[in-house]
Amino acid sequence: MRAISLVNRLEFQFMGNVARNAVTLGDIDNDGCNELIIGNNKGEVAIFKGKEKIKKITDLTFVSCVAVGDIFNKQKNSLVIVTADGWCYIYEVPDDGISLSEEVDGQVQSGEVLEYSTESNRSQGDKDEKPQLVCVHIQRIPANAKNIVLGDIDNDGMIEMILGLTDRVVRSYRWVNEPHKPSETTTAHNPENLQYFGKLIALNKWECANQIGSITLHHTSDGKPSLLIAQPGGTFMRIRCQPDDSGQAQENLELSGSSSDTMPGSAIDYQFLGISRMRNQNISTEILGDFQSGHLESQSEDAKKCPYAVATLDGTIMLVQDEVILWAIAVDHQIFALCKLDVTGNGMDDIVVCSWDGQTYILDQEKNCVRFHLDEPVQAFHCGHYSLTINDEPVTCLVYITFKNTVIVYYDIPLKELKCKKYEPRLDLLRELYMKDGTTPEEAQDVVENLDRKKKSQLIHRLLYNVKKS
Amino acid sequence: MDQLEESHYFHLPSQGNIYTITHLEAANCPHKILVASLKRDIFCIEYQESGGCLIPTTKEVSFTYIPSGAEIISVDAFNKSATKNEFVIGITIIKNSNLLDSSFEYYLNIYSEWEESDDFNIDNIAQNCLNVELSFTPYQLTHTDLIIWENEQITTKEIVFLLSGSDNQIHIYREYTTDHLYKEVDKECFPEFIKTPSPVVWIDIYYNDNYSQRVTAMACECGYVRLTQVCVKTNKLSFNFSTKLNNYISHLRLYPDEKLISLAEKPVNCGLNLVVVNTILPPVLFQNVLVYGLSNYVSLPRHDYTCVLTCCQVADVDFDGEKEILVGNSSEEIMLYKRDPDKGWCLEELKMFASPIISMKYVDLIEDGVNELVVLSMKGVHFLQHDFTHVDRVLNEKIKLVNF
Repeated sequence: MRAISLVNRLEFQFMGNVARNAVTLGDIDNDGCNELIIGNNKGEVAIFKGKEKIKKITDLTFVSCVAVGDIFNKQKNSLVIVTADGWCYIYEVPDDGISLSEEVDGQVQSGEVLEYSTESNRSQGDKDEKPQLVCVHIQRIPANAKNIVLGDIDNDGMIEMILGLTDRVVRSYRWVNEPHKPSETTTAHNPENLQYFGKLIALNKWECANQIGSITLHHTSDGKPSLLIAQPGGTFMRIRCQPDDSGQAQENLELSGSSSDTMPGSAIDYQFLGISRMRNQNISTEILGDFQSGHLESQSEDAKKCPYAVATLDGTIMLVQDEVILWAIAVDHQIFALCKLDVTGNGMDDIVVCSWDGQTYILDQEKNCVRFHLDEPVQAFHCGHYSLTINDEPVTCLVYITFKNTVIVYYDIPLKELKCKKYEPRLDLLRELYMKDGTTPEEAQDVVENLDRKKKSQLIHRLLYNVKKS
Repeated sequence: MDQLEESHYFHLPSQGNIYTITHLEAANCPHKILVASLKRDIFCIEYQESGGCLIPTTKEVSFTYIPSGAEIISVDAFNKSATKNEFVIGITIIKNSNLLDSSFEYYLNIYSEWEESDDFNIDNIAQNCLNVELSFTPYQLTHTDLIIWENEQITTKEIVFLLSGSDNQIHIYREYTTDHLYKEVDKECFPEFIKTPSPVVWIDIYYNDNYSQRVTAMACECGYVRLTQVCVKTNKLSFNFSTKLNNYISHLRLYPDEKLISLAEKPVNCGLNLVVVNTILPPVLFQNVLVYGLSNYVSLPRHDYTCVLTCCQVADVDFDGEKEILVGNSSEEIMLYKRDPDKGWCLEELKMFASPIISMKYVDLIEDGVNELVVLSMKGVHFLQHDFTHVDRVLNEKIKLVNF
């Protein structure tokens, strides 16, 4: 199997244990550059931008999930941090952060009345003109969250927050503004925070039969969203939410204030993928949906395909479409992380998986595979796009969090193609060599096509190395 | 060099050294790279073609008579047959015979096929071993042609192993086909192999004028460099120059400075150059050594003085018809030197790698006409291919040049 070595790397210090979902890449300050956000078991969240750490949030509890997304549904990214003991924090960079940063600092600190509040702004290290990240919302939620997805699960155009819990429960939440009911946490003299009067309301609760591996949002080829929840043994549960029903449900919720376990209209089914070979029924499984297959512009049949990937800890990686396994490979490494990234830049998402011992496999949708081995054990892995400088386009990156308190970022992965190829000259180029002395192009084409491989490679070799450039 | 992209990387379980990579140009099957690591493992790497794409495959070859605990010093291989496969692979090992005291045993193991054949089977070769015990620590293992002239005719032409050793000598091992063994022979055919002040780290031999002249360059640990020319017909030294470059020398290479005339004719040789890579000091290029000896030299500039230079390769990597010098170093870079018509030799480019560079080869492993750069680094073997769109563009230009 093809393997590569990577050269471009950044290394950051970050102490503590990092949970599988406590690392993400996203644009939290809405400047078009992606930052790297990592949280640990000591309640610290660090934000890296370019080659430095720009911010550290401290005094939280065990950070189990971090996510970046438009949780407030106002076309602006926020940072959502969920701790294992059941606190959800939302951080944001104010719109006019540059001029207001110092001011906001003071205000937020003065308005800090909650004793559990963990405002991070006391880290006054960043005195430069960088926009400040402020905590805009804190809410108590059920404890033991381990997975987070921010996405529109019911096709209503609003972003929901879906949490997977270690006690086999999946919950969904949506932000609801309550402009007339300012919460006691925000004082009236803080106009900056007016827009955040509101809370995350619980929409749904689903219980799974087994432990949750991972949760992903997937869209079928007709654009309907569904939630896929990985279950042990390479199986998964699928939840489809109908927008109308969930709308009603939301009203119900708002009226009654109670949460209901079963939702009318949310269809649930289990998929076993018909795997014939014997497997461990208890092996933990990762799932990831919404693989982009083909350029958005091209309206061919291929572009409409929408596969998803399933990986198990015993080393099976599968690409599945419409519950049919397109292909599967088995590797002898324990795969714990499954991500997607268009490494080659061809418009198709590639599968990137990582094992505990640092072996990373990059697979495209045609099953071509490239390996990369980090020489160290890995506790958390993520991949995506990262901005090295503000002016440059974000580049592909692989993020490894090791057990030695370091974060290793390999950036700008130099893969243009996953296959290794022989150099094949264009025949019309070679043809010109044989087109002297009145040979017709067709005859020359014939000669070129009939060249045996050895002669052809000798010819190329002589042309390349024995002809002087003028 | 940014046109060179990594097509494959093989991670070695233990480190190799400057002598542990060799290239097998097998006939009728894919060319191979043989790479050895310190802790006994020897790997054979090749690209296998399957359905329009290449699959790099690695096979661990278990050579016999390499005991556990032995360490591999150097590897070399050559093909005795011009058209078929009759490979001879030499491996020098060092073995701690007794754990109580630090007495070491040194061996040269020579593996070969029984007869020439169309097939190439490395496992067969690996099982057929001839053992030569050495009384010195082996250094570089290489091979050259042993040529004997009689009455203006070449009467003997065979390939012999050369092995430099800690006894400051160069040893010649020749095959005795009738007895089926390899034996060390006298240096009478190589009068230039007189004792050096310290062990020879690298030796390079170049035959000139249809095997009538042999130019030999040797570099020693202490920085001593010797350049000799021998008239092969009379077996007499025609010149013997030496110089001292003060530091440990890691590599040296003789290469002809060729002028390209046209596609049909052979390039005209306009002098022989010698590059000497010094570990600490800048590399030195001795130009046209047949005319000037070691007196006409330039030193190649270095960009930092904190790394150790380990290896070099002379090749036309940018297809402009002029050779460039590539030098690998311990700070994970390959430096590309290019001759500028006005400014002379300058450092043109740096290519970064993931670990320190130990050795490199520029060979056509895939047999597509375009050479690959094979780089042995501390942690593994990197295979770099030229970017195809760039090759297309160059080929297009060159075809236009040839046609008009």
